[in-house]
Parts: sequence; structure tokens; C-alpha cells
Amino acid sequence: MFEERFNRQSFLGADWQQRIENAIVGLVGLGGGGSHIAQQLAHVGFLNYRIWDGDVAEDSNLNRLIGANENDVENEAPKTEIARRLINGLRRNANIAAYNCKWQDDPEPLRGCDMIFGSVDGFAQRRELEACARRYLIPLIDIGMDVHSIGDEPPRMGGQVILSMPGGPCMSCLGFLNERVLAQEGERYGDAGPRPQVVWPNGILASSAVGIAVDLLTDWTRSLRDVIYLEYDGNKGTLKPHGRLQYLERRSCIHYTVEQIGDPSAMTVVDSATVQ
Amino acid sequence: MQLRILRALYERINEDLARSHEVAFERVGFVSAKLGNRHSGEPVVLFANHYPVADQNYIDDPSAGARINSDAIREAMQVVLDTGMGLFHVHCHAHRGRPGFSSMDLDETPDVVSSLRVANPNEAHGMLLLSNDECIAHVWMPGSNEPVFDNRITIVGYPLRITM
Amino acid sequence: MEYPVEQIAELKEICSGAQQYEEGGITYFFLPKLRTPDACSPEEVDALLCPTAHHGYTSRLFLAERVASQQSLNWSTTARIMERMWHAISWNIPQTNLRLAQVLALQLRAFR
Repeated sequence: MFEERFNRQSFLGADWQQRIENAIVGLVGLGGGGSHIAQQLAHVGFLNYRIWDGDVAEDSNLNRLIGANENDVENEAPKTEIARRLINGLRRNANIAAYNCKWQDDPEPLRGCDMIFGSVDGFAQRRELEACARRYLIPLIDIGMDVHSIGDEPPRMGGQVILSMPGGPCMSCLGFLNERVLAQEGERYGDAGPRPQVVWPNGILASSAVGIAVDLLTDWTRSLRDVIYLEYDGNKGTLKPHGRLQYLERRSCIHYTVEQIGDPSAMTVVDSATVQ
Repeated sequence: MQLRILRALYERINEDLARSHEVAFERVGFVSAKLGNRHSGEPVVLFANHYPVADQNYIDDPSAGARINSDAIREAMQVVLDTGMGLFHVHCHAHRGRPGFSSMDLDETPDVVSSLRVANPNEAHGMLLLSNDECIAHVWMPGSNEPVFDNRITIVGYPLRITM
Repeated sequence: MEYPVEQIAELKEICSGAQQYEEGGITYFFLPKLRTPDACSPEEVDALLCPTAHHGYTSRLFLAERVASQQSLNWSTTARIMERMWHAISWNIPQTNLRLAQVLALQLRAFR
């Protein structure tokens, strides 16, 4: 089935289709970045989706929400339904479980995913999602973009694509998540606010994320063997490994240890000076 | 049900089990595991650490690939008590593709698993069999006397490999 | 993170079920059925004490539900930690290098 449609993807390996179709992908956030990801995953041939977003389409989304139209805004269509329509339009037999809420309000299905795409707002949200992914040994691919002003200079557009692989460096190991940025966000009571968002950087970041996922599953390049932390410079039009990687001494994670996997259970306090 | 093992752990186990032994034809070990998502309809077993059986705990028995003594079982039970995790008996068939438990595995290993379940009835225990690139498992969930056979095992790492 | 056994023992005198967790490089103390200050409702609530810097606060006390008290409280944070949802007020303790029980006491002062 779909031989004609996918015959140009044969370079991905003899059993690429089985590997892609067997995977259960979780999409957390179906806004500017997540909608791109949903579209591309469907084009590639992914079959099993679990998708979360509690928002509906608004007029301010139409500059970047892939698959949305003006009728969706009038009808206050949930972003999950827009994504479902997008995916089903390309794969009628796709299995899509949609959750019209934050993933935190219905987290159990997320734990059953083989990989998670995170397109969430804010650093605290990223920390929470990564904590769950690490606890249940699920690779997480995070994308995000931002535009900020610096005095009279032109705005600076940036973004990231991070593959957080269980056992490997986490976003804190990479310095992307740290107390400073979390504190700054906390000062605003965690509200990431209406940040500038446009369609083209989302497309670049989402495409990279999907490419990473396909390589992870098919191993078609046979060269994906290390942490991925890509830095996007929207002013220069570049996406390249973050400079911090050259200073990364450890390839294992010091923040999420093996003792933290699985459903949380109480740690026994032993009678010694050291509690582990 | 789902089981997940980090590729680094999978390869470490394979490497350890590939070592030769003076009297045994093959090596065995134990892998600790924690249950996740247990209250949902989709629990997942998450493998943590490997505990090789010590050299001196193998019995010289030419009729078996590997036979371990009661000390090995006791030490395994102690791991369960110390870690609060479940434990899976593990060994390896050195070939590519999906491995299969032998009739001896299916006859004898469940008794080992029973001992582990006594040590901690609140976690999943079982038997894990690796090949060079895949693995299968039988899982005894808390409160159930029958193992679950039909499992989906993911080797998490580069690449990500899902075996069903 | 390591904490002296005597500090944990002090914490257990306040909440007998107190136990230490780690998540993402941060240490938390789970305090099941922590007794809330007088005139608060409910009288007991599960709590999570983070005795170190957390998102701009020197320490944080997370509660499983928003406790009502005679004070006007600013519930500024909802967070997911250890696979549970928690709520915290905006209350910063300027002192540092406190014992665990002191941190907890100063955090609870906000509710009195």
C-alpha cells in the first residue's frame, strides 16, 4: 500500500516504512511549531499520533497555524481538530488520539509514546515535559523560536532544536534550561506572554525536528550517534550545532539519574550522613 | 505491554553476557526494572541496571547452557530488596533477529521469577532474552500469576529500535 | 543533594512521613498530610518542600491544593513535579543557609 506515494523515500532503508508506521509519536503543542510537525509527520507516513493542545484557533494564529483557515477561527475550532484534519487528509487510516487540554491534565497517554515532539511555550513548561519524558525513557525533540529587541538594533530572531535523549545530556546539562532563565520567567509569573511568532522559522525548526525523528527511527544516515542541540539564527538564516556543545564534557546526564525512572516512589532515608 | 531499555544498557548487557565462562556455555544476569504508568491501561516496564551473576555462582552442568546456584538467586532477591525495583532474568542468543526462549528457559526460569516476586510483589519481574539486535520478554505484573508475552520493546538510543 | 540526617529527622518531627525525592537535579521533600497553620483549610495537605533555589525563589513550598487562610494569598504558580500537580504562593524567604525545618517554618508563616 502507498508504494507509489512513498517510492521516493526508499533511500531511508528497506524497512523504513514499518519503522515509521510502528512508532507512536506524541505532539505536545499544536501551534505554530507543532502544526508544522504534524503536517510533515503525516507526509512522511507516520501512522500513530497522540496530540495535546487546549487552545482553539484564533485570528492571531492564522499567520502561522498550518492547516487552519478563517472558518476555523469563526467556529473556534480546537487546534487538535485542525491537526487531526491535516493528518487524516494525508493518511485516512492514521490513528489519532486527541486531547483538548494541556498534557499535564491527561498525562497517561503521553507515557505510551515512542517519541515526543515538544512545541510548548516557556522554559518551565519545557522542564516539566522533559521531566516526564526522562522518567519514562522517551526521546523528546523540543523546538522553539523567539524574537527580541535590543535597543535601536534590528530585532534578533533565534530558536532551537534539541533532542533530549534519555541517558544523554538533558536541557539543563546543555545550559538551555537554567535557574536564571527560569527565574526571569518566574518573575512574570510564568507567563511567556504573546511573543512574536512567524511561520517561516517555525517551518525550519519543525522540518529539522522531523528529520531527526526519521533518522532516529530509520538510521538512514548511520551517523546520528550524539546529542543534538541546534541553534537557529533567523537574522543570518543559519541552523547549526550550538557552540556550547564543544564545551560539553559529559555525554551522560547528571540531572536525571536511573533512580528517577518510573512512577515516583518514596526514597528510603538511610541512617548515614549521606542520603542518596 | 511496553518495555524500554536504554541502548547503552542493552549493549552493556550484551557485552557482559558475551564473556566466556569456565564451566557454563553461556552467561546470565539480572536487570532491574521499574514499572511506569501502572495505573493506566498501558503500563510500561523501564529497565535500569544490569547485575551479572558472579562467576562462582554457576553450576557445572553440561546439560544446560547455564545453571546458577541458590546464592545467585539469593543475591538477586537482595537486589530487589535493596533497590525496591523489579528484576528480570536475562541471557543472550548471539544471532541477529528475534530470539526465542528455549523449552528449558520456559520450564525453569519462572521459578526464579517466583522468588523475585516474593521479594517485592509490587513491581514487575520477568525474563528477558536478547539477540544481537532485538529482544523479547515475559513479564509478570504485580498481582498476576500469568506472564504477559506479547510485548513491545523499545531500545532507546541511537537508533531508536522498536521490536514487536 | 545531601542533607544531614539530623535535619531530616527535624523535618520528620513536623511531618512524620517526610521523604526525599530528586527530579531533574533538584531535591524535594515530600510531606504527606502536612498540618497547615491554624485557621487554614484544609487542616492537612500533601506538600512538597524545595529547600533550594527554584525559579527565582530561594526556596518553595508546593501544596497539593490551594489552601484557604486568613491571609490574602497570591497563588502565582502551578507546577508539575514528580508526576503530580502542585500550587505555590508568591512568597520569598530572603534568608539562606537555613535548616530544613526552618525553611518549612518560614514558608508556613505566609499562611498565618
